[in-house]
Amino acid sequence: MKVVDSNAGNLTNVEVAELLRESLAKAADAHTTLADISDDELRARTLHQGVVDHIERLPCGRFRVSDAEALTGELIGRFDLAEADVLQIINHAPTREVELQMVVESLYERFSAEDIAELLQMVQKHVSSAAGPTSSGSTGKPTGGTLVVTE
Amino acid sequence: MFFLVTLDDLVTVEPGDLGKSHVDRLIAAIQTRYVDRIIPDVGLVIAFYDFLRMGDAPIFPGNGSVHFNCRFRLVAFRPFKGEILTGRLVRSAPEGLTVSLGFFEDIRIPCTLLREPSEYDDVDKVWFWRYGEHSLYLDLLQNIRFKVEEVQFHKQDGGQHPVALSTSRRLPPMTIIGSINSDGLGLESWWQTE
Repeated sequence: MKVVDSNAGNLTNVEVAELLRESLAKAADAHTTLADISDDELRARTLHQGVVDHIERLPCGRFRVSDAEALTGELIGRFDLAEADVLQIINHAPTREVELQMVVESLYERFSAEDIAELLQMVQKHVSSAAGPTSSGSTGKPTGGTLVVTE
Repeated sequence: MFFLVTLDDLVTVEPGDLGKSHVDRLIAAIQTRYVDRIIPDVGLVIAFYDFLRMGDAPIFPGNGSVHFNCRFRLVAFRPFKGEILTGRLVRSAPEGLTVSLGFFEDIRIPCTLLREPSEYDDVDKVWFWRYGEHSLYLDLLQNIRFKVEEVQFHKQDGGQHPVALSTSRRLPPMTIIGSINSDGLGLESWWQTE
């Protein structure tokens, strides 16, 4: 094994959740019985379900990738934010000032009170319009992880 | 934070598996080797992402397996210093707190990085923050927001190989050290009213 690039790009929680939900749904389609599932695959599915559950508990769990992209576009079009700032805003979807000052470094030196209010409103608008996760149950079909755990 | 990591590896497909789709077998082999394991100094591998290159498939004498030289990307997890994470408080002890993200549990908040002044309640076995006249308790199983101070890797037998999270061990292969000593951190419920 050789690590060629130890950071070949960051992913938002929203992208990771969508990727894992797809992979869990695909796995659920591919197998009909528990006997088909190897220990390694079960371990992977349990991990994937754990990550999806973690992300869906967060405010960003309501976002689809399209919501996150729209918010990112608005944020970088309006404010001077670093990549880490944008990623954390997507991941935390802060709608209160106390939350925003945790995730944006030197918030008060970089932004005026009006900017901060506008930024929070921008996030709030996207949180309110987000459709919620596509996963787990919304299609009436259990994901792979849930299936395994409850059987 | 989740990110992509690019690796080169010689991936082995057993002869019995060759009837199935060759890409699926390679992905399964990569998943077996990496997913849910820690790559030292990189992080916890979550999932296979894609292939960037699939090279030669030499067959070595005396072994029917096929080995593919592959370059691929994996999704991994390792928070950066200063990142804010939300987990669940799972353990409270005089030396500090343990937090779980569900899929990752080796997160410690030492008592020195709690909000000042905090005290440990010996009867209820929980920490609380004295905020003016109020005692804000860090109750178990509540959502807790913390800041990442450090991510430590403990190499097992000094190797660079991926390590399972659940191997019996004295030191976990990856530990996150967090703090809750500034505004917005601590139990989520503390900050929900303004």
